[in-house]
Amino acid sequence: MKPRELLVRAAITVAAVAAFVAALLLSRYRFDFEPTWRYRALYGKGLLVTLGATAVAFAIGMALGVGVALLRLSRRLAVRHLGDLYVEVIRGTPFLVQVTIAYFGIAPLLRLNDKFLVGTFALGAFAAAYMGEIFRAGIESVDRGQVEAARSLGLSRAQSLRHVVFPQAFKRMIPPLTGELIALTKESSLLFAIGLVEMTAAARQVGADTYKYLEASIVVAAMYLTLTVPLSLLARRLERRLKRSERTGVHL
Amino acid sequence: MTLPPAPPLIALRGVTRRFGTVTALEEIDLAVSKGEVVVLIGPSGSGKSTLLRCVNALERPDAGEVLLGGERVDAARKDIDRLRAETGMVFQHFNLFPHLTALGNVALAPRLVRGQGDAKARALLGRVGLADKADVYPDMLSGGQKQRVAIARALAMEPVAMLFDEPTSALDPEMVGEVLAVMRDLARDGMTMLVASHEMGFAREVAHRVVFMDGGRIVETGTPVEVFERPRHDRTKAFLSKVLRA
Ligand SMILES: Nc1ncnc2c1ncn2[C@@H]1O[C@H](COP(=O)(O)OP(=O)(O)OP(=O)(O)O)[C@@H](O)[C@H]1O
Ligand SMILES: [Mg+2]
Repeated sequence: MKPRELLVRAAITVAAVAAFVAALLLSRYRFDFEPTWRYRALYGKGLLVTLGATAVAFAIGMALGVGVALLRLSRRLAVRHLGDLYVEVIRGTPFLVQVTIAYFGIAPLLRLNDKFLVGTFALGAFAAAYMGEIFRAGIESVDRGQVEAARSLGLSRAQSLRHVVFPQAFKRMIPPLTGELIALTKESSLLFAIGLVEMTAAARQVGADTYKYLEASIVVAAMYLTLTVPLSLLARRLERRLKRSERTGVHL
Repeated sequence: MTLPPAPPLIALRGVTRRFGTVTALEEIDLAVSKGEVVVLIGPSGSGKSTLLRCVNALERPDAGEVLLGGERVDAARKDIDRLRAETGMVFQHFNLFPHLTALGNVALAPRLVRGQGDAKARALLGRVGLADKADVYPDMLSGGQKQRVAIARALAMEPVAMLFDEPTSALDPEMVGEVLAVMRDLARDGMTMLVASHEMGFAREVAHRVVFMDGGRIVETGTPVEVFERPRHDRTKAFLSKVLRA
């Protein structure tokens, strides 16, 4: 970032925070963060669950997402349709409903009752629909002539994908994948639906125990921002670098 | 008594290819012998690219067949990858792999398919006059240099024939010469070549045979002198007077 841009952004951020604090103070609400501090261990556990669930779900989403993308890019109509169906169902229903069905409907069939396991897997399956779309768009953004050149040299379809298409597609997928990681960090809060105590659930519990709902929520909001803002700064950086590299040929 | 003529290296028999209502190729018969240089000419949309792409199994004929060294070129056969490697394809827009260096582009297929090292790829870059550009990415190369890397890449699998689809028509005029020079060298070395090109000078000088196509059909074929000096068909005359005037 240029120094001037950095300065403007920092100034606006500070001003916004100051305005927010001023508004709270003017409301004559008497803040008391002491009870929330007492619950720091609970917040800490929530943080670990949020981080763990997000990371594992992201990894599952990556793996399943590649599968979804390959299904949707298949030459066979039936296979393609299977991929379409998956994406439609996942994107057409709220995650809250999906995770409830997964925990109370599907998990018992598989004799699973570990909330974390079921919850993160459901979150990963959810992410896969969106990540599959990111992969598909990335793969389709690679010029057809690239595959033709690869195949004309005698590379198999798999070799062409792996050595020619994926390396080019991956670069373009990094920014949207970072966005997906941010979305997942927040989406993981819905795991409270099956009783998993991640950050949001921890905050709700603190609020319920101490009647300091507002303080408990402000704390957890700050925690989310601490996780997501660096990611989004990173995404923006990568995006800018990518644009530059596609213009001038500097390679990532 | 003379020996029977050797069977053609590339043979198209009754090849037809349609795209919806457009007939890109209609019952094409064409044979190219080993060491022969055949230049395809014809107006835009006459089917030159489609013909070349059928030889490389990038297009599949709706009817007829393409034979390479007696083997049927068919995208559905199991060993199609091996058969594809027997022809080297050079594209109008180079289609270099942007994430690989010049050397990486040339060395990729021999490494993946045959487990070979870089030595031959380096030698090929030298052969097209780009030994010093081995570690440069395509973005940093001029159009002419890109196309020469692409030719080196197409040679890397030691093909029995080379297919060129208007290799100079995306180039700035001052770069056409360097690419044609490489192609001329290849022809001189006895490479079998099937070339779609608007470079009439090149065709006249290098081609053993010129094939004029129009509307998906071969209208006439003959030596460069026959086709350029004494075209028999009106369509050929009309086309030639247009391109030679330009
Ligand atoms: N993938 C495709 N889908 C639909 N139509 C196609 C496709 N490829 C080629 N065609 C059509 O087939 C005909 C022959 O095209 P082809 O590209 O082989 O001609 P060409 O002689 O190479 O022309 P040019 O000199 O413009 O490269 C054209 O009418 C073209 O529009
Ligand atoms: Mg063409």
